[in-house]
Amino acid sequence: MSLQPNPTPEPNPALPDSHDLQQTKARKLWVDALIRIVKSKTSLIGLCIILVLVLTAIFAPVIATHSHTAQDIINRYQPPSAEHWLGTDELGRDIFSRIVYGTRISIQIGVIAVGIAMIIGVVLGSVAGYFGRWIDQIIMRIIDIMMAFPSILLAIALVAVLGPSLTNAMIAVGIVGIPQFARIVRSAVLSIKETEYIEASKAIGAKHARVLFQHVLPNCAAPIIVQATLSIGTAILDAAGLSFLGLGAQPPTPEWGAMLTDGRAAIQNAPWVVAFPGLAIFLVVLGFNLFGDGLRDALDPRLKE
Amino acid sequence: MLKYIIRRLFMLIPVLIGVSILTFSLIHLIPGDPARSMLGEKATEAQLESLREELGLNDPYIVQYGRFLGNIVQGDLGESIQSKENIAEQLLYKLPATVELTIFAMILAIIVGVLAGVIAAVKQYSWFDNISMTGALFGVSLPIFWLGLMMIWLFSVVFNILPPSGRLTSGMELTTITNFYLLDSLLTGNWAAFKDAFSHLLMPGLALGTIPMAIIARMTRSSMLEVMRQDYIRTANAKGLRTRFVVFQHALKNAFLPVLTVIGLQFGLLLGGAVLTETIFSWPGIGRYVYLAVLGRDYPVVQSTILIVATIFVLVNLITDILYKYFDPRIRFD
Repeated sequence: MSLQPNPTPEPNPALPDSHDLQQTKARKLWVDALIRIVKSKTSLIGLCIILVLVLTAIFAPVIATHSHTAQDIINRYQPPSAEHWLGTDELGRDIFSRIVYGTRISIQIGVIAVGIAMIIGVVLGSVAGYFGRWIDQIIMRIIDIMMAFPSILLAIALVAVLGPSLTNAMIAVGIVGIPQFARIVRSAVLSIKETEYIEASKAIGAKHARVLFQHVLPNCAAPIIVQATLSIGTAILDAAGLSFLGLGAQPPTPEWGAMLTDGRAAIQNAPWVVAFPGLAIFLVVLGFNLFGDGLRDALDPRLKE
Repeated sequence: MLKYIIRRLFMLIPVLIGVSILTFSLIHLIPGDPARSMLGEKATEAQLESLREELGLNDPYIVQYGRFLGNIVQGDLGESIQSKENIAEQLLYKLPATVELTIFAMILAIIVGVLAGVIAAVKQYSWFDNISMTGALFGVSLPIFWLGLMMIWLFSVVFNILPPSGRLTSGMELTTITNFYLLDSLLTGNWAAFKDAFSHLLMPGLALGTIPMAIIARMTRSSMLEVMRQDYIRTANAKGLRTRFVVFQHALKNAFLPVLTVIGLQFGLLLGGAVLTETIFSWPGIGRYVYLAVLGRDYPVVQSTILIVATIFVLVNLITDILYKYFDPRIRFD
């Protein structure tokens, strides 16, 4: 039996071309994900918390009832009242207004720290996974070494070296987050680079950078986005921990962790100074965790532990 | 098995060398002059030079690293710049406090977490399942430093039933042998001290154990749910075994493996979390030690403590891997 070469198929006008199909598929993934998130009660709660946080940060001057820096020593340690909804702190500042302004700092911390971790982690992970061999070995051994340190301790060590400040705390928390992104992206790249469409794009002579950035990385978007969402919660928590230790935001910045430090001495008589900023941290971290969990289930069920 | 352990121990060497390079580099990452950073702006040039000489900062990096590594191998971790105390001796004294706290927190986390996870899985979608899993969800999002402070307020200020800080009430006598106070009080038969040390451990242990407890509970539940669907569980139920026996003898044994990994990972993370917990509860362990050293810019103490903690972390992870293989011989790490 002789093998006949397949005749070139005629383009069928009824079928969408492959580009359209790809776009429709991509759109469908995100629409599906959105539907699943909205359907899941917990991730919807998470999304609502995040939306409230973002809106509070944007409209902080409108929402705050007092100036977040104005001191009123005579009215220090006032319990919650109609005038001061969440009470006042050791300098008589309005705690509610400080928490409202603190949302801006928390969002800033979350986005910048995770941004640092994501950019460096994605570059390292994708280069390691895509090129393999000795490049992979070197990068992954460095990641192994970074993972040999408990994350908060490494962050503390880095801040100890760089000097205590909000910026350095964000950098430290960002650096500590690199390994997770690198590992997730590496394993995603490893499986994607074996697929036929990558082979095809290499065969038509696409350069490494083009293959990596145009074809491989966009297909790793789902796990990266999931990890980023979950990491924002952790980053806010770690940075608040650093600020609480006096290694992050410095007074009079209304950072929630730093507010806890200020109130610590007065916990016997004025527990609200500690209670409310901590509750704010908890709610925001919960929001990102709930939403991140939902996003993971919706986008990439394989990641679910 | 022995071959596997030996191979893993060899694989540990490059990681530990990397860890030592990173800790060594810390002091050189300080922007500007490390000596001035440690002694402050008021230090004279002579004082700075003497510290540089003392720490060997004038030598080439490779010589400094060689000396750093050589000293560590011999158990010499140098001395504190501030107190001039021998760091290795200090760590030997403070490490048991941290390990005692960490183990206590872990035991609490395992008992409560595994039990809650098992019951939640067996009674899936019941009120217990809903409440415990909501609790677990909240637990992973809690800032432990805040939880610690609120506990102090509730149990020490409002109810006045637990001591807010320290390991032992001042004036309480205890002959220390191992520096693990619970163990020492048991060994010496000192019940008053045991009760006192236990009451001091309760709050920091609970604060530190909350996050692992939540993670273990969630992991146990999902792992149990998967195992409970297996055929051999149905067989065990069908032949009339008591539910409790099936759950604990058949299901939990197999569901425990993923939980074990989580426990190993969390144990290492607890060592990091101890910095915050020990600071809040004035617990005289290495977490508080490193925190005070960071504030005082006592870099040799920071370096040594971090090196020790990272080494313990790496070892705990190794032990977890070995246990994993031991409990599940199907796993091959080639």
